[in-house]
Amino acid sequence: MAELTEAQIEVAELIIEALNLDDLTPQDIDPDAALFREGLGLDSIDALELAMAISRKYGFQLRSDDPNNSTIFSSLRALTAYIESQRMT
Amino acid sequence: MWQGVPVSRARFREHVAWACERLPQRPEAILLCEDRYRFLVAFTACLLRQQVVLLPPNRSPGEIDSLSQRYPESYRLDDSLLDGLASAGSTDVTGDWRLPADRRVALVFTSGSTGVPRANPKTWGELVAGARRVRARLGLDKGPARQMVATVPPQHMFGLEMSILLPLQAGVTVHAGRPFFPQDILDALKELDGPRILVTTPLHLKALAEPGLAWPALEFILSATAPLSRELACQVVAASGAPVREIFGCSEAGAMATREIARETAWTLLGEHRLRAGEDGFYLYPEEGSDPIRLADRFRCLDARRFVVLGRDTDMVNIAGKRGSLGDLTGKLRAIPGVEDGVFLLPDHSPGGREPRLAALVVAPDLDTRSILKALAREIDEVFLPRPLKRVDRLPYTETGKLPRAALLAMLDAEGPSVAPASAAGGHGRA
Repeated sequence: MAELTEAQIEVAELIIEALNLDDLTPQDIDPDAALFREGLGLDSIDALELAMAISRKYGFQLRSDDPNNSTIFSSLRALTAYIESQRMT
Repeated sequence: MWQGVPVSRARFREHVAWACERLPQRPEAILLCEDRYRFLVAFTACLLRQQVVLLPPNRSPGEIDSLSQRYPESYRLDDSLLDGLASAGSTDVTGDWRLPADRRVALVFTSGSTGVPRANPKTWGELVAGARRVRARLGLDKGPARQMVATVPPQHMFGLEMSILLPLQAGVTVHAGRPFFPQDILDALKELDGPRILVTTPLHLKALAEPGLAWPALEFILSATAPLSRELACQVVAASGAPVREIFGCSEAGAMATREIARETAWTLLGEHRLRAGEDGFYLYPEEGSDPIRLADRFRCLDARRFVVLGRDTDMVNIAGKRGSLGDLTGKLRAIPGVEDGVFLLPDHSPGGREPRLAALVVAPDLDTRSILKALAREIDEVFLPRPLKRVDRLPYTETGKLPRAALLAMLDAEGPSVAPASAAGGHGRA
C-alpha cells in the first residue's frame, strides 16, 4: 500500500470524522482503493454527508462529474486531487 | 428539458413514435432508464405498445435478475435502447393516444416481508386520477406552466407520480437530469426559466439547508419518502425562500395526503380519499371506490380529512427514504451459502444525528465479514447494508424461539469481534 501524502491524510481524516468511522485511521485507507461499494464501502448517503463536510472545510461545492460520481470518489487519491484542483480555482 | 434544450410536445410525440417502432414485441418491460426524459419516452411508448412497465424496488443486480426470472418474457429497457433518439426524424404521429382507464399499465415493486418483492398493480385510470388530485392540491391546474427538477428516481412511486405523470397530465415541464449534490440541484433549477418546483427528499434537503448556497426563486419544494422534521423544514424555508410541502404516500396507494410542516403537523387527505381503522390495521379507501388498501403505518384520525402518523409496523424500516422489511433482509442474509443464522435490526440511536443505519448479527464460522457483505450487496439496496455486521457464535433465542430486541441490542453492544462495514479488514477497508 502506498504512503499517503499530507493532503491525502487530511482528506482521509475528514472522511473518518464526517462519516464517524471511528475504528479507522488514515493509514488504514489505501489511497488507490475505491471509496464506494467494493473498497471502503461508502454509499450515496455518505456521499451527501461528505459533500457537506467538504464544503464546510474547503469552502467550495461539489459537482457531479457523472451520475455515479465515479471519478471524484473513485479513490482517496482522486478525491484529494479533485479537492486540490477546486481549491486553486 | 433534455440535454439543455426544451422539448416541445410535438417533438416528444415524434420521439415516442420513434421508440414505439424500436421496442421488441414482449408483454412486459423492466424499465431501467436513468435519464428522466428517456424514461418518459420509454414509459409512454410501452403504454402505447400495450406493454406492462415493471419498476424494480432498487437497481441491485440480484433484484433485477429475480424480476427477469419471475417474468420470463420481459426484457430490460435501459437508456441504451433509446440511443439515437435525438436523431429521430419527424414521423406522422396523428394517431389516437388515448388509453382505456382500466388497463393495467405498470407494476411497482416494493420489498415484502416474505422476501419476494410485492407487485403493486396500477391501471392507467388510477395513475391519471392520482396525478389530477396532486395537480388540484398543488394548484398546478391554475397559472402558468411550471418547471420541475426532481432528485428522486422515476422508478420510485413518488418519482413516477411527480416527475413522469405530472408532465403527462398537468403540463409540467421536467428537467431530464437527476442531480445529486446541492450545487448540481441548484444548477439544474437555474437552467429552467418558468415558475420552479423542486421534487426531492429529506436527505437532499438536509444537504441543501447548509448556508452559503445561492438559490434561484422557487414556487415551492415538494418532499416525500420520509417525514421531514419541522426544524429542517424551517431551515430550508429560510435558505431557499420557498415553502416546503410534503406528500404522504406509499407504493400501494400512491400519493395520499399533503402537509406544510412549518405550519401544521397533521396531514390532509387528497381528493375524496378516506382513512379508516380495520381489525388488523389502517386502510385507505380510495376516491375511485376501488378496494381498500392496507397501509403499513398506524394513524390517529383527527377528522374525516386530517390525520397524524403514529409510527410504522415494526417490521418495516425506512432508511434514507427507502422502505425495507427487516424480515425480508434477514431472509436474504440467511440465504447466503455459509451463513448458518442471522438477523437484521434497527438500533435505537444513530451517532451524531446521522441517518439511521441497520445492524446485523450473523453466525457464519467459515465466512469473513467482507464476503458476507459482498454477497449481501448483490441482493439488497446499498443503504440497507448493515453497519455494523457483527459475527457471533449464536443468536440469543428464547425458549419459545423468539429473538428479543433487547437481547439483540445487548449482543450488538457487547465487546467482541465486531467488524463495522468501514473497518480495516485486510487493510483495504470492508468488502
